[in-house]
Amino acid sequence: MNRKVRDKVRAGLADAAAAAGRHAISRLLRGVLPAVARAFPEAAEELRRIKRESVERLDELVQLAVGNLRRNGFEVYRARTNREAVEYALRVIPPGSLVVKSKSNAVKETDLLAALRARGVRVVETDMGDRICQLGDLPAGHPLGPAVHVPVAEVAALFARDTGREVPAEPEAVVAVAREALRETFLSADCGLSGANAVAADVGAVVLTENEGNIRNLVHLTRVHLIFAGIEKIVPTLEDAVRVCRAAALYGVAQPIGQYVTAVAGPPRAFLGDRPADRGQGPREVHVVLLEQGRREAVRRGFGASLYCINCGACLNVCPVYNEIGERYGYRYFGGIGVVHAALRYGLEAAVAGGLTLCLSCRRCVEFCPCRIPTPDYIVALRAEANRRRSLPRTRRLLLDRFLESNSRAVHRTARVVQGLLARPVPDGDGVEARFFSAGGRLLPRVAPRPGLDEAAGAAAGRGPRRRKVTYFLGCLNNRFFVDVARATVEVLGHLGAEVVVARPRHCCGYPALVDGDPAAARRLAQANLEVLADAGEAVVVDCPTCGTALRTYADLLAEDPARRQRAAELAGRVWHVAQFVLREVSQADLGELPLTAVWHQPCHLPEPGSELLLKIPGLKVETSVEWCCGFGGAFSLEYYELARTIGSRTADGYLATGARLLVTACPGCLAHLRDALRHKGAAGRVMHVSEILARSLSTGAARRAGPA
Amino acid sequence: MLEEIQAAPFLRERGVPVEHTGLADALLEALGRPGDHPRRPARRLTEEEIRQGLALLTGGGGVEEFRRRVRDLAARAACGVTGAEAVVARFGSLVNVESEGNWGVVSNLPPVHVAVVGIDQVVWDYDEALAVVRGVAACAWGARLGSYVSVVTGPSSTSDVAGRNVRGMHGPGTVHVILLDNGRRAALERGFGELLYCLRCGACLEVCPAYARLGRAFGGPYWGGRGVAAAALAEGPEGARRLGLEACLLDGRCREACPLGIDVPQALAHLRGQA
Ligand code: SF4
Ligand code: SF4
Ligand code: SF4
Repeated sequence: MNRKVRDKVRAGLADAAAAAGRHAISRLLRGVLPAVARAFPEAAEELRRIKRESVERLDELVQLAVGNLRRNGFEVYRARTNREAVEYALRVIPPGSLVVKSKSNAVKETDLLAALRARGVRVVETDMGDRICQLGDLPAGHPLGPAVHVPVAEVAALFARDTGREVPAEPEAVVAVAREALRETFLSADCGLSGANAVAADVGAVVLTENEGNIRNLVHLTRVHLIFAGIEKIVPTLEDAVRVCRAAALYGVAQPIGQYVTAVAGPPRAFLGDRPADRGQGPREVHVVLLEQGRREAVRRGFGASLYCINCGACLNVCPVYNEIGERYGYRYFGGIGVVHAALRYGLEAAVAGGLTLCLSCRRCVEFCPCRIPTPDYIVALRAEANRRRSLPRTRRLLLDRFLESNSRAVHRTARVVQGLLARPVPDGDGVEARFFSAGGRLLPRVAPRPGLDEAAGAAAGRGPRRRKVTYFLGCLNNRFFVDVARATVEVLGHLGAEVVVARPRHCCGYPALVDGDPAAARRLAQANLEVLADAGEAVVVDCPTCGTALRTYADLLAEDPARRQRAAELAGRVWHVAQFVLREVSQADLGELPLTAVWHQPCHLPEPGSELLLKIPGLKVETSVEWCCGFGGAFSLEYYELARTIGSRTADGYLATGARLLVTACPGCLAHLRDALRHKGAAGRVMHVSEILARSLSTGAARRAGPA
Repeated sequence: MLEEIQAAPFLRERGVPVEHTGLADALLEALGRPGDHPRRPARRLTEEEIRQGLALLTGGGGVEEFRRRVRDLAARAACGVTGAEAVVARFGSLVNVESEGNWGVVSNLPPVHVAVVGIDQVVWDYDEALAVVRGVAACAWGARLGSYVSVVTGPSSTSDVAGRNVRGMHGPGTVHVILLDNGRRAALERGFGELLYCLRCGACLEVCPAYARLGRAFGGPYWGGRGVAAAALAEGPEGARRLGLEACLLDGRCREACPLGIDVPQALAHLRGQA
């Protein structure tokens, strides 16, 4: 099964032009979205309120909506499955007819279009972007700008071929020709097929939003209008429905509202005499198919928030995986949320095929989603289920079990010996490269002669008791590989006047096990680490943000065990990344001058922007760059190295463009992966952990104070 | 609103052909009769009159033929002219509610859309606009909504061709909004602000004895007693007298019927005093 995913990833990486187009749109939207979202802070809040209420009252609202829709003259069909929905649609749309269609996710969810084609029905897409893709038989580049990456000359040629007219290669000219051609299609169409942005239960109306006006044409010019809507689109009121449309425009294309919002409340009627006479300017029949497929299941199984999704695509703009491989990540619906929908609507196998193993857990999507849908958490839960059912390969877990989860010296020695046999040191980088099946010449960090735990304990020894005690929790990567970082962290904490106690966990933090869908193992590790940190003092400092994230999730992991959960919750409040801790504790006077130019890489799991700390170091100039994931993702980069490297390569390009000679980050995973990425660009050896640069600044500061005045 | 400014006769006088797209308006025009209700202008027509009107209008093709003709006209027309129920100030949107669908067709098919709205129709946000919409639907059609609510926020556009924003994709590339004062500010300044609450629902006309006697002569294009007051503010005492300032019986039946409780007789009494 996962071979198929690897093939998809390979195909996605091969289509560099499409990726470039996607990145261009995403970058544009990432640039403008935060400001627009800040300008209307109530939009996301209200959306969440509406969606929460709608899912909570799902059954009641479905009843209410169906009643009111019928009263308004709609034909309403409740489809339990996609199959039923398609069968109903085939009864409404006669064979051989002409159908005008606007964007619809619910339609995409079914096999309707193939079924219609098989019956000689001609379906014409009327959204300009979709029409271009349809004419050119091109895959959609981005859900909100499917054809933006297609050059205008090519688009002009497509419409020239379609209309038999000459079309100048100018956007205005192309639009004029397309308008006219599609207008004729609208006027002669038999049926209109659309989705719905929302269904207002209180008034029985289907509400749609758009910029082009094709939906309005569809709504007014067709004889029969068929609407596909998932039951999760039902919201309590018309006012709520308009808010949903607003949020879709705001988070989709950074517009305060779409050019058009249209509420359809049944077939139109002209009034003559004292009664509605007949049909007005619109269809004779309006059918609404309410699709249930998997929705109730989602609520029942604890994935209710996945139904909040308004398909705005904000999550896609920030997803490192989606931006590289496009619609190949997901299943009918794009990206991580698409994988979640796939699991709940088509089953786990579909989710695995859609890329259940591809999510990096970078959490960018959660941050940008107006509904705050916890997509990566859902993916992790689904991985656990897939593992239980053995639908995921076991290789990752074996590796993690044997290697990462044990901190014993024996394992460390073995690892060093094995690495010595399998890999050779590289001349131009701090690390080794595999000797045999060289994974694309990947630069791997070298297993250190002595474990970081021993090095750190050595560095901490002999400092004597101080007033304050800080516990240093050292993660696997710094224990195995980056022992310099471990020493530097101890040194930094020492400069702050703390007694440093190096915790001696026998295992890793549990994060790899957790995200790989092995909650039992993660729980085991959480329990053990909770014991190790039993009397940790006022602060537990980590120098790996992922370890920090893991320590903070112990309370959730141990939710079944009240006593432990309580202790874990207390622990969570005392966990600090060294960068955060120093920012809070350091006085400006302690920092010595470092006349350097650096660029900061923000690790995905660091709770606050770390660049603030760097800015405090006198003499250090900090360049800004695009914020993007390094692509490491732990086991992700073992399984999908090419993809991980492409992501890292984009990040590295951003940093190199700043001209800074030094890259500073706060995560050993980023450190390893960015060293690899930069080495491939001939810029080896420029990445430092924030502890290392802080240690230098603090010791310069200390020397200055101790030196002659 | 278009009636208030007499848009159709004005344009026709200048050689611009104008066609009505609402079935009732078109029918009444074909019969040479004025409408007697702002929302359902043809409600009093008998079956026979309707048959006769349709024959005149469509040459026997009936309602279906009228529908076809309107969409073909709209598809060819240079410009669509409409009113709207509300303007949302915060976002710059027109909001309309209708039962027939011709507003949607007229505001989407031609390359230019001109909307005429009174400044009294401007509200702050969408919730207020939807409250107006709900009020109109309840009064006009006794329905929760009508068939279509349309929110229009500028011209149609697309960025799908090479990322450049181009106007006039499927809908109009140009939308003009004419904000009409015509005595509204004067109403506010002279203490008749309550008159501006009017939804043009027509409930007051159903109970008004003066309107029953005089019909459209009472209030003219401004409709009924409230219209007489509006005329006084827009055109001065002369206009108001011409449209029946003295005809009102001041019995307050309209105030009872009005969903907003507008006190038209009190306003008229004051205006009589000032005239
Ligand atoms: S967590 Fe990151 S990789 Fe996973 S779906 Fe979200 S944005 Fe994509
Ligand atoms: S999951 Fe993605 S598409 Fe869905 S609402 Fe959130 S950001 Fe939008
Ligand atoms: S005055 Fe009142 S009853 Fe008369 S039309 Fe206006 S809102 Fe309706």
